[in-house]
Amino acid sequence: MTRKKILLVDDSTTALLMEQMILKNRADIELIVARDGQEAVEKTLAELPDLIVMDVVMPRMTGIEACKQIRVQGPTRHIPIILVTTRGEPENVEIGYASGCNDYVAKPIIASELITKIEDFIGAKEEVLR
Amino acid sequence: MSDQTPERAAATDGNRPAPPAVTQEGERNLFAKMHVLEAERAHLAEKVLALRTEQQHLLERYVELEEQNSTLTTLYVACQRLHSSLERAEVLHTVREIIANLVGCEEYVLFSLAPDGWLHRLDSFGVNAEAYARVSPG
Repeated sequence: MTRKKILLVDDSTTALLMEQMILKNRADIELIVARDGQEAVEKTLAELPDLIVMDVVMPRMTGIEACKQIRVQGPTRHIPIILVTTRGEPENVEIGYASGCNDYVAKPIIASELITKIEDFIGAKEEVLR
Repeated sequence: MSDQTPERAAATDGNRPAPPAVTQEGERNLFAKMHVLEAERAHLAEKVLALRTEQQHLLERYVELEEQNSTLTTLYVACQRLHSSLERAEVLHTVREIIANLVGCEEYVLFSLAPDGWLHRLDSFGVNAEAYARVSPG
């Protein structure tokens, strides 16, 4: 079984804990965590994850800016990015797509929705649902 | 005169083995067997229908349990975070995070009741903070 690496990026401990709770028991997924956009770019380059789930509003560097930076770097430009937006920020969805994200989920995160989107990108249905 | 049926004769002519002659009793047996098989088919069709209904029921139950699981996860995270600190500032920050990330509110104001009888704003987002600096409890 191929171990899939997912990078979770959020400055909120609560949001990160929620995402980890949803994914931690779902088979052979390795979770990496970053607390802002800058750290996300660094960890993406170092770890080359299979997927990135990233919040938009963060200190130091926003998810949008991090998305743009990940897209211009050769080794990371193909990595799928799911942005996590607040429901009342539809403009962030448009800006997110323009910056190169592949999909988005709105807060509050619904477990089944997040898992479905992750499966779509990393094709790990069996592994995720095991 | 031949006692062969035309079908048997045609089969014999073509060097194929002739089908066995069907007697009246054999015909009765075949009909009886056909009735048994038809009854069995009807029974199996009923069983398939029952299994499909049960499958649908189980699918609905699965979706229900997934939703319940999601709610319990949210509650667990909220409780875990709320009990992670006794410091007032940290607790207020956690409440804000829970409201934004787990409840999904876009506008939030938290008040505390002051000795003067008014509600004083402790924290907020998505609203004009000035407008909610102090409000009457009534």
